[in-house]
Amino acid sequence: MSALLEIKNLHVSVADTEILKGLSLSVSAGEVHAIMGPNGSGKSTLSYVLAGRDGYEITNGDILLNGVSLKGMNPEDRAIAGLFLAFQYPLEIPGVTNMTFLKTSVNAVRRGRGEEEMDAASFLRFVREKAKALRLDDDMLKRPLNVGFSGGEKKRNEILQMSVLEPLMAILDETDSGLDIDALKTVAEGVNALRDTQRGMLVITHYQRLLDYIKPDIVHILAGGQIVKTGSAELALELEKSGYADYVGEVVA
Amino acid sequence: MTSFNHMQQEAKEIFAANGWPNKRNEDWHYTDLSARLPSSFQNQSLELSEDVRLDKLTCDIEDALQLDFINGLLTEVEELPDGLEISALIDHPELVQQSDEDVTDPLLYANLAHLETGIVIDVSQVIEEPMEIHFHNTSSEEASFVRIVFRLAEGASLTLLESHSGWGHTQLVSDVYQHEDSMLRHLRLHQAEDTQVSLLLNRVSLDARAQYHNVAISLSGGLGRLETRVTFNAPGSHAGLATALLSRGKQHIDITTRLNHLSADTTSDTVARTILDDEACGIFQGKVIVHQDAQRVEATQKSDALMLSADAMMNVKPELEIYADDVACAHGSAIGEIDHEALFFLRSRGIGEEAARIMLVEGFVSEILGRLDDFAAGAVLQENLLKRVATFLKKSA
Ligand SMILES: Nc1ncnc2c1ncn2[C@@H]1O[C@H](COP(=O)(O)OP(=O)(O)OP(=O)(O)O)[C@@H](O)[C@H]1O
Ligand SMILES: [Mg+2]
Repeated sequence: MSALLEIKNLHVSVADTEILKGLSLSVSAGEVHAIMGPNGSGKSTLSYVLAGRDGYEITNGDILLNGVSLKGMNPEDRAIAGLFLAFQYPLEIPGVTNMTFLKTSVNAVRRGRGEEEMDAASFLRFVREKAKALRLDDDMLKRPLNVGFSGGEKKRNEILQMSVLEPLMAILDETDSGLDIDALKTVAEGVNALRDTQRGMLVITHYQRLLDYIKPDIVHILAGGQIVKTGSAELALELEKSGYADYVGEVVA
Repeated sequence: MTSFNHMQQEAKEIFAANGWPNKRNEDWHYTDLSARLPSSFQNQSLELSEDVRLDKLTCDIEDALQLDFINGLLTEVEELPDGLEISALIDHPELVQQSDEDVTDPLLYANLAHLETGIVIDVSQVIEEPMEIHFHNTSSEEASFVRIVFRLAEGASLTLLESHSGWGHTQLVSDVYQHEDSMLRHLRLHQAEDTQVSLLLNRVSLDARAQYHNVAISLSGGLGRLETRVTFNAPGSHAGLATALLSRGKQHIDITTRLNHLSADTTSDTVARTILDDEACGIFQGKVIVHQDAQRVEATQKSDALMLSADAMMNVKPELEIYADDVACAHGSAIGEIDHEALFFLRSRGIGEEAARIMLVEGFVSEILGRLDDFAAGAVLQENLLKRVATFLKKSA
């Protein structure tokens, strides 16, 4: 069986500087992979290049989602194809309410997938239920998207977007950073609720803590633009104790 | 008392001698009218077909009182409710000129020299139904020269929905006198054809605790100058001026404000959001004057422009003249482009590029539309205007 997400020997340059230097990894449907790695190692770069952000040039290698190359595909079509990125730094959009944004997004994706759009009333019910599970109150839905949201609220709002879009492949970039213990649990519950045999997840984090709640099948260490080690959930525990020193050395050498 | 005819004759002579203002006039530096406008106008006879009536721009508010000016002439006036009265300006010569300055002010002498219709609207109580006033020119040969004086009695209030459409040239002077505790909510919607020239001057005089809320939306038109001058005569008076300008092609749109705080304890709040595409040119000239005895004045002024094209141009000229010491006045201005990170964020959620752009621009103007919350029929107006904005942006993209 072919993988849901397959990244093959990926080389990516940003502003003529090579950041990812031959990264390979593959996630099968139903699996949760974690990526850990030092600051500046290229984790967010990987997440952006997956989502199709401008300015991230693939100089070599390929990314396949369900066997289809994402190269040259625009961000909206990737979302329609089932890719979702929870941003490390979610954007604030003044003047556009969270609700309007969510509805536009869900209906755009549905249209793109040839499904019927949701009418206003059923969408409202649908979103409210998902928001409630993430302990985001109605007021958050009426406010402009992320404007004045606390760090933790922004992250929960990312998970809300994931819950309503029901992607095939979700990438979570440091969704745990800035969350208090309770919010971390809430977010993890939200993520776990979406774990299913059809869906893959790539969870980028610095902390073992998140992985206590979202148990990964596989852990990768990204350093210097490459995966330098792949292991089981135990690998994260090991890192917690000894840090990255061993792995960073390998790349430099 | 000088007669109306005498004042008009004088205005004609001044217009013949001075014509339209040009670059050398400081207030008209960015909007040179002499280069754009003919030196004489022919008042056309009024020929109206039903089609024309239907074609004009409306705010689509049911139960609104309607006043239509077609080619500068007031067509018909339906029965007015209690508390509203309309009379001819010619019978109120004392309202024609406020001061000696008026005699030499280009917008005022040009208006008076060519005046076709002048009316006085007296509002003596709270009027629930909004009043719609449409101005429409039926061809590029047509010109409208209109003056309306609004007088709001103590405690009176009115929602005024003014709209401009069509071709040719429109020059409107609105003089607003608000007595104590009165409230005027004034929407000005400008969506004329590409060749139209609109010179819209609003002069507002506020007594104690009087409130003037203006929301102006301009969606097109060849050349537009939306000028508002407010005089704060007594404590507690407040003016809020919110403007959204969307311009493309070779359009030229000028928003000029002059807020004259004569009295202590008065407040003003000016916000302008300008969106420019293609080779459009936008101007924001905002002047705040706080007189020596006008302590505790709060005046904020903010201009933000969103440039959708590298060939568009925005000029911002803020002026603060403050002679009192205990005041809180602030000016801020910013000129920027579409936020590419925000655009990527929206696209990563499946929203197509054009729709994402439109969403960001709508977000940019939504603060202005939000000011309609308290207007009679505010929700309908907002929805209607948002549609117009979206249509404008689709054509633009
Ligand atoms: N636009 C850019 N221009 C130049 N260099 C960039 C740009 N964006 C990222 N980089 C560089 O790429 C490297 C990887 O950055 P990236 O954000 O992917 O790291 P990260 O692993 O996500 O780090 P963190 O753990 O701090 O979030 C860094 O050295 C960063 O400075
Ligand atoms: Mg990062």
